[in-house]
Amino acid sequence: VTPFGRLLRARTPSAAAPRHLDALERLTTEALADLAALKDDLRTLSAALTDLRHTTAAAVAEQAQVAEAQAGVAAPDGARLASDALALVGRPSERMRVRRLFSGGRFERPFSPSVGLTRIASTAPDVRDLWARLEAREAGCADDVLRGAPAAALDVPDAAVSMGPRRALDIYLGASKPATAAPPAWPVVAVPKFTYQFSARKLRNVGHWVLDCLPQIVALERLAPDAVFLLPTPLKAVQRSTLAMLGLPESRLVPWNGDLVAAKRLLVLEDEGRAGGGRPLAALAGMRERLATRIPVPARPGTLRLYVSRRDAKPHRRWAANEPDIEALFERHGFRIVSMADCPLDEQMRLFSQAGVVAGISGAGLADLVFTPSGAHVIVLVSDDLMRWYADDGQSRSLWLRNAPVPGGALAELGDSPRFYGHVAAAFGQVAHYFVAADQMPLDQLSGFVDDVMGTVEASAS
Amino acid sequence: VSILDRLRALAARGPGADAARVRAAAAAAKAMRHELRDTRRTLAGVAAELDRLRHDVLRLRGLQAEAAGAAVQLDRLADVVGSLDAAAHVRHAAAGATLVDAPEPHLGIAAVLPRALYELAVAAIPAPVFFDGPGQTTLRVPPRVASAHAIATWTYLSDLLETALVPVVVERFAMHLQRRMDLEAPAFAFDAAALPFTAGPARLVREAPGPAASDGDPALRAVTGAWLTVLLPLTPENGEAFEGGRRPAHTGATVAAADERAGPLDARPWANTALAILGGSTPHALRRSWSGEGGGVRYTWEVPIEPDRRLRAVLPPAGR
Repeated sequence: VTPFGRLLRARTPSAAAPRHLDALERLTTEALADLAALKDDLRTLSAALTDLRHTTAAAVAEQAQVAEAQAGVAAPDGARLASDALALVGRPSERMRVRRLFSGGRFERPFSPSVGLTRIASTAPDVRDLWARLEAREAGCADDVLRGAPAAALDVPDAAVSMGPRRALDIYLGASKPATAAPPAWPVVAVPKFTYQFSARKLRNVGHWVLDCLPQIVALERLAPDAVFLLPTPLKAVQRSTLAMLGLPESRLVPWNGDLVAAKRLLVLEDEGRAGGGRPLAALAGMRERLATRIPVPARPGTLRLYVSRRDAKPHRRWAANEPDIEALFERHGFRIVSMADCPLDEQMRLFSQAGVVAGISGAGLADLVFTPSGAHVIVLVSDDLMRWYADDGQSRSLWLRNAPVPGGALAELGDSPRFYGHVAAAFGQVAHYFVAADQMPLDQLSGFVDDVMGTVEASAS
Repeated sequence: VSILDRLRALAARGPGADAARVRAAAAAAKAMRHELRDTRRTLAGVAAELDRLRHDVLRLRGLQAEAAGAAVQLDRLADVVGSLDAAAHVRHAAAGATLVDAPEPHLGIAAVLPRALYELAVAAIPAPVFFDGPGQTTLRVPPRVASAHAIATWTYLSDLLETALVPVVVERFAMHLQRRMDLEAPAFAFDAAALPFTAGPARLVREAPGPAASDGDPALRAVTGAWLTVLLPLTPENGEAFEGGRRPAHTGATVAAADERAGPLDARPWANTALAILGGSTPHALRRSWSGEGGGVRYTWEVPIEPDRRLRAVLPPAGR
């Protein structure tokens, strides 16, 4: 009989009642303490179970991701890949061994802090309308954040690769390798996307080379630091020197005509992480990180003001009719005028890394912003002629206009537009100011704009 | 009479000091009861967490187990796909099926898939643990969490259905669809060459025998917004049941349409015979009644056909 029982059975309080009560109090106190301990144990168990469940759920997600990727590359009607210029040749069981690797993390940065002053001095109704449409599309995007996906590469063991006349890449796996494939000359071979899917015209352009191609090399090298790169032939001097700047010796660069090459491990860049027509923002940011380990880019903007001249461009690509006057104007505002054709690469790096403000007509010369510190300012001049060039119906650069705006779409998709350098500047943490005017740029208005920008620059510096 | 009541009664009879101690003991007992209830709730939480963990572990084991055989299955799928023109087969089957107007306009498409492909579809139904909901009743296809083989098979089949079957089915029902469009979207220019319909989110439905099990499951409600629905019962052609060792009873019984006044609809769930029928509710009711026929667990591939973006833009909200 428990103290409870004894107490409850008593019809009247007896002499023994205090003793029973003592026992009852002890019992309830102990029981409550036991219960509290039990609850603590249960909570600990629950927390441990939750941890275990999260771990298991993560393992399920990981396994499912592997299965999904395998289902894509081993699809019965041919591998489903991000690039239609790629083909995996082999049985599904062979294709399943192909892994998709991602280089670096995602890029995500608010855009508006990188957008400075804008002045539309153009009086041409079509140009004003184009700019208004660009801004309307930006405003219609889901949010003010520029996002970029990491570059993705196919990691193919024991493979051979060749490129046909239409620059489509065939990747042969296992038993599907042609009998003519020689033994691998290099253990790891990497193929950037610009080797098999990039127009020859863009490949010749230094701006595209720096902003679109080099980031691919960096992304691949991050996945395979010992890889040899198959590159388009012939390689230009500026291409070799920029690759050397990234730390790639000549021995790792193979100008390639598309002939069959075998490798123990083949890495093919499948997707550089561009959103729509935009820039490969994550890869671009990755390249800048890589550059920072190779050349001293100061943490803060310098005091140098640079104006990048287009006097070295072809006449029909100079965009402004009065560039000598524009150069003189910028010179009066304390800018040093630079013509990239006359400036060796190491001098370009030195100048741009010391710059606090870089100005110029939107074009390849501004690609050297990659050497310019975060926090610097960029003045981008856009003429009527250039604005219309960005809206050229027949070209991919006008995707920003042709594609129906998707309400809530991604801002980064508008990166191949007159905002090109706005997105590049945002990727590097810089601020871009825009001046849109007639081909014969109105110098008074431009001068006022430069004064206003310099006021902003000084205000931000202080 | 509870312990507390008896303690209270005892306290009422005792001298002052003891009575106070008895009341305190009663309060302690009451606190203990609260603590016990609270502990029971915590325990229930632990049990629920354990259930979720068990579910995840089963999924993980399922994925790992199926990964081992995926390569062979994928090669077999590629061999089948490479050896036949499945799209032409599907189009031909849908184009040749008889459209029956009463009691509900419907199309019974026999041998809708090439036989080998149908068998692969049946073999690629993911294990029940990959189905969603408490009764593991539905699974979006193509599935996201499943073996590589199941994902690849259902991705291929979904594309085949969307590109080959749905356009022909829509074309077959053009007159009926036009009638409804005239009522709901009179401003939309009807173009028989470009009918504004597309396959909606498809799913596999898994049902235990008997209507009771599915009655309370909201996941099994009719697909809303469907103007047409295609149902394909997935049963092995050799008559073997999926689960429980019972032969599926899908032969011979005539299943009543949802609207009994319209009379019986001969829509038996034959293997590899798709049923395309107007609306979302009637086909749903049909599928539900199939599951009441006894036999083992049943699987149905359910594909709603919905207005495309152009038509949706002009439809009143209820019609979308």
